Amino acid sequence: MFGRLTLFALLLAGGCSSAKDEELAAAKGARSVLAEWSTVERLDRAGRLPRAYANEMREKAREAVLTDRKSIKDPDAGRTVDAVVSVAAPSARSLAAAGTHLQRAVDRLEAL
Amino acid sequence: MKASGSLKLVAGVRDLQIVDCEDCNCGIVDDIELAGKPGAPLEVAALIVGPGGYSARLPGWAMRLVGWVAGRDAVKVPWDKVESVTSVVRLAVTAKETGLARAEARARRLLPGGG
Amino acid sequence: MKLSELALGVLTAVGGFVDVSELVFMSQAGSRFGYALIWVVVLSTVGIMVFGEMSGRVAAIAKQPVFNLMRNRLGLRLGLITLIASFVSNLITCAAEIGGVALVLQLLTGAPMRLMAVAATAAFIATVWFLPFKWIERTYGLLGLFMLVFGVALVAIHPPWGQIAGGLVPQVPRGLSTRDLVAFAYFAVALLSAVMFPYETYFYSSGGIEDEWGPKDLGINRLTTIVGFGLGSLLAIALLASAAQLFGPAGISPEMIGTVAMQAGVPFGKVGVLLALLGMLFAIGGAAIETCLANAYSLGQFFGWRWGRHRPPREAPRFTLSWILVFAGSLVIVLTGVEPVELAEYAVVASILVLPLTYLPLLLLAGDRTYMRVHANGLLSKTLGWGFYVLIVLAAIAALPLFLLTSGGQL
Repeated sequence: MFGRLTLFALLLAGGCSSAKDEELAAAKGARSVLAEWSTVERLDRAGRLPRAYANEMREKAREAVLTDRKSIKDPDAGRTVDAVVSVAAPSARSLAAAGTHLQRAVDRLEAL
Repeated sequence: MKASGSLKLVAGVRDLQIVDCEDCNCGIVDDIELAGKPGAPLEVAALIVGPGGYSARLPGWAMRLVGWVAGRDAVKVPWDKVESVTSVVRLAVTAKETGLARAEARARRLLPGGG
Repeated sequence: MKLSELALGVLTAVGGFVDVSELVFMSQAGSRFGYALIWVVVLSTVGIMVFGEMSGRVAAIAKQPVFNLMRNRLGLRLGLITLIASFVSNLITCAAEIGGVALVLQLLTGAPMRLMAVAATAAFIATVWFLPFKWIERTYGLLGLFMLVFGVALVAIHPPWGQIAGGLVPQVPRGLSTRDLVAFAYFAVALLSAVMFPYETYFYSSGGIEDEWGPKDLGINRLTTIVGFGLGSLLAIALLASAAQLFGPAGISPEMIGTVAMQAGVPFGKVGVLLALLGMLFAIGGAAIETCLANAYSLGQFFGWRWGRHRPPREAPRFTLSWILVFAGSLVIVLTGVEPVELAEYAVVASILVLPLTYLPLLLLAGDRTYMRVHANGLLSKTLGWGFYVLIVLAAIAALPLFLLTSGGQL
């Protein structure tokens, strides 16, 4: 275990994959935010969230995804994010689907 | 080398809280001024309180930093104004009489309604 | 000691236990690693109980506040380094708390976050200026009990209690990739830091001196630290377990503080979210005041000023000016636009680096019979104290590399 950890530490400390790491962190962040946003939409649709809370969470989610998008270079992942944020009011289902799709990009980036 | 009485006192008194005769905190012993002549035993002349008292205890670069942030002011409290030394240094006079209340007074002027 | 006083002290400790870093890290740890990190929360809680009790005892018996004795024991050089490091760590933590409060207020009202940060800071300054110490502590601590909704919410979603209990056993989940293994280690260190934040000890022991504790208060000190922190920790575990149950399977690793409130929203709808937000508001607000005052206490004690909220603000002018400036500095950090979650991440790393320096003089003094007489550390306190000290030092050494390797837990 320590051997693997040391190797990983050396690889990262050597800066061999810092750009990839930034992209991976952004993709993971966007994936989570899409899932958070989807839950907001689902609960709000069921009338289970205060209005101000739902509106602000929606806005924050959009901002967070747009920030993460800047670091995402993977074309497939980028298209997924762009498609979601281009809609004014995406549905819970489309957000969840985009999140699942983005997970594949995360898996790809993790495998690199 | 065996520490002399004065050196022991310096080590024991430095960094202790100073409390005035009205039971008010009024600083920490930052350093001690010793006085003496060749052949005569060293005596404690005064307590030094304030960032200026750090100069013998900090490296030059750190002292420059302290001076930039907090200035180099120091107040000397004559040893004969000290009433006792326990876990604190207790003065026989008020902080105002020794000059130790000046910094608090300056800060008070900056507070709302403190002018 | 009246029973009502005792209960109030314990409840205050429960309501004031959770802060913004715990909200973030408990939820992220639960969603990412399920129940596997619960044992770290329990272990860290025992740690804060041990050092909290020790600092309260030192305040009651030796009447020595932490930073006063730190300078006395460590000397000027090392003392100054500790002071600066803890000041920076507390300042970042205070900024994270103010940012957290502003965010919660924004979620409650829909008003802009920066405006809410200014309003919250003004409210905190007014609170500390006008309210007596005990009132400040109790107002925020007791209103922070709205956080109990997270505990009730966990029960309401019928979690797998067996698996939660399984999390109490020290473990590293099997089959993790190297990357996940490093992240697991990072979250373990972060949880330890978030539970054992140094400001808690500074604030707690300074509060003991403010309240003029003596030997007769050792009972309430022990009860507050053991029962109060213990129950508070259950709340933290509830946050982690709810996140494991609700967020993990949904692919959520809360990137937004507001998401945490949905843990109560899922079972209880609007009322749940509102109660959760109110609980978060007061718990984080209380922590903002505590971190700020902890910094003013540190400065006042290190330089030997008149300090304490038992005095009118103008009678301890340098102390008063310090806490006002710390609030103002924290507000400036928030207004630069750094996300509170990011600040919370920096805060836990900075804090764990400071912990070894903070706890060493405390351990030395609490074991010193010259000052503590019959109340000096016994075998149990000594063993636990030094055991946790070693753990803290190891965590401090590992913290920065782990933070960099995981990009603050994001990888």
